[in-house]
Amino acid sequence: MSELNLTFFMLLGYAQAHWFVISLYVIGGASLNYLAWTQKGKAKFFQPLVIEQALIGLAGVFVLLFLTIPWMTGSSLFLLGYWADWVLLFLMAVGYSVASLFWSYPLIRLYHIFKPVEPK
Amino acid sequence: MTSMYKMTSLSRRKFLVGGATALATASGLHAINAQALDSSARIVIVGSGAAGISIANRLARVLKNTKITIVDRKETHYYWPGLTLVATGAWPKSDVLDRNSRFIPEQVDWVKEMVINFDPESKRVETDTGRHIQYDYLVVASGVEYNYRAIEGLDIEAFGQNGLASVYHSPDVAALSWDAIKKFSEQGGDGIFTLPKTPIRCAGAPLKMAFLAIDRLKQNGGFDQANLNFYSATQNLFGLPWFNDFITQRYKQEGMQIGLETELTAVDIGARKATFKKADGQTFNQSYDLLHVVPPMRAPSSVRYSDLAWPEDSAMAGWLAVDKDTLQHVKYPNVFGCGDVNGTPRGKTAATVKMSVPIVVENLLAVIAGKEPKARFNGYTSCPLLTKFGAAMLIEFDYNGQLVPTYPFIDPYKESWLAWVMKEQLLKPTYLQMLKGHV
Repeated sequence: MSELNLTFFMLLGYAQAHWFVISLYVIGGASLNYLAWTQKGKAKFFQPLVIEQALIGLAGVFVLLFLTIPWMTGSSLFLLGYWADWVLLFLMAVGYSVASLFWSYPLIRLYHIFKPVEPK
Repeated sequence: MTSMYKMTSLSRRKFLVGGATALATASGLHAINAQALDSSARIVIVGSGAAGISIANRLARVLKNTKITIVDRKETHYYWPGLTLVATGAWPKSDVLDRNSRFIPEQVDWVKEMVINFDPESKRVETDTGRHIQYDYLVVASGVEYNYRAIEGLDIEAFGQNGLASVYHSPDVAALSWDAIKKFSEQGGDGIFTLPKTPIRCAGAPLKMAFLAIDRLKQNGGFDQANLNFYSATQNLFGLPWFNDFITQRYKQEGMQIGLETELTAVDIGARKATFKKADGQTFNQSYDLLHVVPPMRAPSSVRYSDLAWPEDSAMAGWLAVDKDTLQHVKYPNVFGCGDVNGTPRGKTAATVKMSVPIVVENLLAVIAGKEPKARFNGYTSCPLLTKFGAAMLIEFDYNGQLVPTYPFIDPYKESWLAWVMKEQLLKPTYLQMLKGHV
């Protein structure tokens, strides 16, 4: 149980230490989703094309994060030699890239609503 | 209606005690007698470091009628575990500074003076302004005293110049030390790292400093011109044999010479010469371009010269005489010790504080309630041993030197990025939670 307690407060402390970035992420993401939801597009909020493009973006963000997170933490991909390192890196890259959908999906949706109509 | 009637018929005091009991249970304080929670005892905590503030927060949360006083003048809180990263240029100094006022609970009386004398027979402490503060229960958490004066010729004002460095003194000195280490890492030369024979705060820090300095030498181009030496006044570099062998072997691979039972006794700052004394009494001088000094450490003089200290004939002479299991004073049952000041076999780390604070609080509350202290501390301590920038080993062990990993999937024998992430990103937020009385 002590490890669960430690993990909880570790993550809580981390969130508190980065409250500004997290607040920006939540407020910005919520605003974008509200905008995307309330715009009168012809289609619904969830559209196959937007989902497809968001997932492609997610994959791109995942690859980018997987390659750069060690560097961003003052380390290097070459120093990862322990299996737990790879698991942590995978989970961090997945977590952050999934979280990026909160911004990317409404942005893609808004792009499709406001993109200029191509001349025929 | 019946339940409402029952609620309103509860006295406010009982309600508070009930709430405190629930909080205590949630905090992991088991089987606390209501007598303790409702006590109007006076508790004095000496020291506003990690242990003192953490204990104050835990006590303030469960004790509603108790007068809790913290005595310490320090207003700036140092995050000591981060100083290795400041002294090697990874963190700015500001990352290890905070304000104690952010963490000391409002209902705690904060006396901004320093204790100079303990009088356990009269149950009072004397401060440097002449004030006497009475207590019913005392927690001593006054940390360590750095004895730089034991090294002849050493001037604290000279750190950062003439190749003189020390990770310990303060964040200011750690930042100045980075100036000296940075220059050395660019130019190379003779580098000396030391370890004294006294118990020291975070015994892994001097080893980390050497590892990270080697990494900086490689990054900044000075490695090929460097001649490295590590002198330990003890018989080894680390208390656990496997890790001692690992560190020794790794240092040798990096071309570092190791001298055991060799103590730094004097420094000629102008001439950049250090004097060492070997176990057989022989002395020798060695010139340096970088000298990383780890001062001998001892309990603060207020403890050292009081009845609270272990006697001169003890192995832990001068340190606070507490039972290593209950952390209760061996002579005065109303006195407890926590943190670096304790004269216990191992562990002067923030990790030790993290694990021993709940023990002290639980046992203190038991004593207030008139019971025997039953919580036992296993001597837990932890060393995230940074072997290079980006990799570390998370070594956790107890009084007996047995490994006690918190996370079973982290192998303490392996260098990992995961351990580095914990040290560099997660331990400080965890530490701040600990100050608030969580974790």
